[in-house]
Amino acid sequence: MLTVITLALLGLLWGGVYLLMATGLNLIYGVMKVVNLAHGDFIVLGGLLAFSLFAEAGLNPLAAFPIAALVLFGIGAGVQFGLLERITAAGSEGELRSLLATFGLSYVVANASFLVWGSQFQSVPFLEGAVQAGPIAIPAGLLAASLAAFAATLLIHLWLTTTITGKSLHATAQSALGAASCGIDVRRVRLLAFALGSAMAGGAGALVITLIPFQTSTGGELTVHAFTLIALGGLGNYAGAWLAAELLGLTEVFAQFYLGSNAAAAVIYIVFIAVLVVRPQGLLGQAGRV
Amino acid sequence: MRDRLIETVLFGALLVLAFVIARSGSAYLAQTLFNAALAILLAIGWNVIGGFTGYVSFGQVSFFGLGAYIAALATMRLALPWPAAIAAAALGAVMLALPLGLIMLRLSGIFFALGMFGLARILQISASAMRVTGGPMGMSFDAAEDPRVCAAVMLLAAAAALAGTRLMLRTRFGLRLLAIRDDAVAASAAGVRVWSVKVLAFCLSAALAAVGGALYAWNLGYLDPSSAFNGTIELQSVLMVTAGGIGTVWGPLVGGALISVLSTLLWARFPMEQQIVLGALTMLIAVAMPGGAMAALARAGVLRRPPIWAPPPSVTAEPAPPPPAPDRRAPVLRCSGLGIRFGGVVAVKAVDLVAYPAEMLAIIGPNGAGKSTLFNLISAFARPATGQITFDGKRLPRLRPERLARSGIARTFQTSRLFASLTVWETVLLAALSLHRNRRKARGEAARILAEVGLLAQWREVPEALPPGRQRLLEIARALALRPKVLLLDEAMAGMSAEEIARVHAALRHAMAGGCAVVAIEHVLPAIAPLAARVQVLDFGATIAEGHPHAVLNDPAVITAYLGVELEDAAGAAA
Amino acid sequence: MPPPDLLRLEGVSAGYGRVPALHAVDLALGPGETLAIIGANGAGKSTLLRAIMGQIPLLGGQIRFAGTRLDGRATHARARLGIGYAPEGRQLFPMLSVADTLELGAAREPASVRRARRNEMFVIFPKLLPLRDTRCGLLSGGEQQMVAIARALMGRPTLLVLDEPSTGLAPRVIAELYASLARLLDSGLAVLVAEQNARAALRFARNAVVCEDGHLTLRGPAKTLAADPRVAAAYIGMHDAGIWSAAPAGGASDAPI
Repeated sequence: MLTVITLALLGLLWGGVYLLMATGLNLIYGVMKVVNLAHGDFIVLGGLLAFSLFAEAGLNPLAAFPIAALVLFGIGAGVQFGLLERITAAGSEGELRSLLATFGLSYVVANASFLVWGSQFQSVPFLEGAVQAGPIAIPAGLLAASLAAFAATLLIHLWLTTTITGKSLHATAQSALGAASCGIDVRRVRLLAFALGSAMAGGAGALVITLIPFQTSTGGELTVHAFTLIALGGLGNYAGAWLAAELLGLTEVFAQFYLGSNAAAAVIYIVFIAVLVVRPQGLLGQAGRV
Repeated sequence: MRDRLIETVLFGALLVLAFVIARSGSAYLAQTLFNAALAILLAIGWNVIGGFTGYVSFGQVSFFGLGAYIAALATMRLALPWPAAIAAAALGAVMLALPLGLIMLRLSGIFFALGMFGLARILQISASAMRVTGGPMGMSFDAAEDPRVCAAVMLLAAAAALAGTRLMLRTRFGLRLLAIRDDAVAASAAGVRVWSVKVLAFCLSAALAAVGGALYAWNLGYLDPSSAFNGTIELQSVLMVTAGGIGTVWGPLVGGALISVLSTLLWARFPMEQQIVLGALTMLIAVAMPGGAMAALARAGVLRRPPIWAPPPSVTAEPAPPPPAPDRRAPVLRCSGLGIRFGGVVAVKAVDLVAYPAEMLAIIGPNGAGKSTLFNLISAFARPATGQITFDGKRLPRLRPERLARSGIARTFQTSRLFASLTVWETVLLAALSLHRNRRKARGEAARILAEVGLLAQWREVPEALPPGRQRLLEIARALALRPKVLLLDEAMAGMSAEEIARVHAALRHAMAGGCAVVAIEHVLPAIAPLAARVQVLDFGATIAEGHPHAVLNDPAVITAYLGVELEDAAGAAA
Repeated sequence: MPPPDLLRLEGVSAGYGRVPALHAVDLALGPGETLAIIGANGAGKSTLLRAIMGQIPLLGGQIRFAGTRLDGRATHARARLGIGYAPEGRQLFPMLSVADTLELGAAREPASVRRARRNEMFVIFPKLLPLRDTRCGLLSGGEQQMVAIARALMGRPTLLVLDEPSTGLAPRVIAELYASLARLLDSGLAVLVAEQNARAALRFARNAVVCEDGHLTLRGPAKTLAADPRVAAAYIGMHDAGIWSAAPAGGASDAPI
């Protein structure tokens, strides 16, 4: 029983971390209907930046978090301005071309990181002890990272739902012409959305590298992980994403414990395909086929 | 003629190369050519699903790896000879692709793309976890004895795949694929079973990838999970196809040749940066030259796809006599209480509609009255919230639009939906093929209808080259080729010249003489008034008048609906 | 001397692709004036408004607003110059509340200003007040149109551009809508409205033009046009058709337009 409670707690904490990894992707999809296939590579890049900051300057990962976010914000803005904004085709042709472009981007980012950091797994040690709550022990690093992740996603969510700039992101997502006729510069909004989504990937990386070691080729897996989560939650649906993150966190922790790490790694994809079969509109989605 | 020559030369070169290598040539050269031919084969396979159906996959490497493992295990454990092992690999890939396609090809492109990526990871993890595959360390087995033979076989396989896609595009299957890629909605309106065609293409593409994988295993004699499911293979295929020209026969070959050379050069000089350059190139192509090299060639008039089953046969025989006049009092289509709402807006509320054989019902009404929505409800492109539809005396079950089109309810769209890459001839042939299995019959029917609407002379043109009125005409011809019992025309005569309208009238009269009921939405009343037996007027999603054209068009309520209401009256009513 | 034009179109051609849907259109509108563009479906009314708002590129001619040339400016930049635009199909934000949608209409103003203007809108359109927290997607057609107009007014425009505001609305709702619009005119707002609903538009506006096949074929005071039988002809696309004139009880005599 104690094991189950501990595992459940771990799963919920991991859920927070997953949520942060996916929120940026969700934001970008919500505003631009583009799935950034380089999202996972951005996460890895953020993590490796945190690694270097730690290794070279002894910087605490929590302090590296804003730095990694800022760097990725710049990269994201550059990608949106130089790449995606230039794909003008609409509809499925535009979707296909932006997919191809971010597919290429993911290779560029992953292999450029490879040139800098090599192929080894890197990690950043952080709060290695455990927090004891009665009979239950929780790794302190996971607890801190998860809380930081929850705080960051909550802040972003509040920003999106209460400030006028955040609302203009929603507005642009729902009707670009409507937003433009309000005097909102939709190109700037898209730039902001992509940059912000990338920044969240970078920040997430700085936290996650304290929990799981990163290799430059880890990115693809993280992209699918993040996409599975937002697909499960219903693309662009924030409450759904939170629920999905917790479910995935729990599933993975239990699968890891009872089935072993290989099976746990496959579970995420099995969940993904199961989602496609049973509920392509996501857990909380209402629309029919996407 | 010139294209034929170029094709023959390209193709002949591949075969000669295969032969020469098999006879002489160094092992190094053989290996280089093996790699290039493998890349081209995989690109061709990727193109079948990514290019011809428009479903971009980021996990075709799944079938490559699967094929490699199946072939290797078949020779090791079952002692099958290599040709049998290769066939087993293709079969195994199809057995996975079939159920997977049935699930994933119903979804939008992004789910498919990432689902395939996920599949590759699952297979890689499984291969690492299983003992029979040698786990993460991989396994060794007997490779081909002579790498030159291996390279020759690989070249032959690539050539066969190329010839296969070329041939495929000259069949009804290829025609349907192209139509789906251009516009899946219009394809289903032309009676194409969109989903089955996509699944079939997916299986084909999986088989090609698996054959590539099997030959790879045969060549190498060693397999491990990370090289069998290597993402670089995916990147190369995607890049080759997009660089060469997505959805074209020769694109994979042209792109494959370009990218093979480039990546070999890069690998020799800048092995570390190779993938960065290839990735950057993919980005560049996606942004700057979506059509790839073939688009440039096509603009220059070289290697264009020849029209399928062309030219149209000459129309000599008088068309079949119209079927015996059906009982005109028995309606062929009866809708009662149809309704649907979008958000807070009721688009169509409780509309009744009756269409009799051999008669036209005109539906008119101001903008936003719900006319097109009504058509979507009848033709199964939208699902009514209330009401029911009786067709041919039976209550209409929920059908897919293509089933409905095949069973006798054809439609056109308010904004023309034609297939950008199909010629006039192919567009009508596509619909005729939904009705006639027999090739000769379908061709005859398509030619007859084209002659009837006066488009036969322009059979070679793509829609873009036609003036708007002719495009409309073509859409009507496509619908008529389904020999519908009910024809739904959505503002089909908008923007037509008097001559074109006359042609449409003639074609419609002919169809009606054969018993077809026509339901036509129009804004331009004279375009339709001479044919319409009855007019039904919609406003705010409801019927406000119905009856003989003269009576209806002079009904004050109808005039008000068109020109608007007197403000004072309405204000009075509001107060 | 007449007041300088607020909006001026000279020889404007525009369209989708290379084929113009609008041919060399000249149009002028002074401050505080009201102009209706009427015509049948597909006549080019919306194209004209989209050209003014920069939603489609010009193929020829130029557009000036308050003395500034509009070419090359994006839609949002034109909105910021003082053109309030309620596009065809309303283009609301279905998942956002009425209050949020209105505030977005003045997104660049400080929060206090946004709130003050939003409350003004609830005075002009009192029906919206109880719906302030309702998502726009759940509103009725008339309510949606009011939100679209109110949103366009939030930026304090000098010109209001309305594209088919009456589409899909019941006659009573149309009357209410135009009554609210008429009350706005006291503040000196100029209104350019494209309408299929000729009667409502001609009663509201002082001047009108008739658009047919991308040309402005008739223009003049709205009252004069309202009595012109050619308007009805242009409308239903029947120049030479016998259907309206053949029957004795013709629309033009029975129901004065």
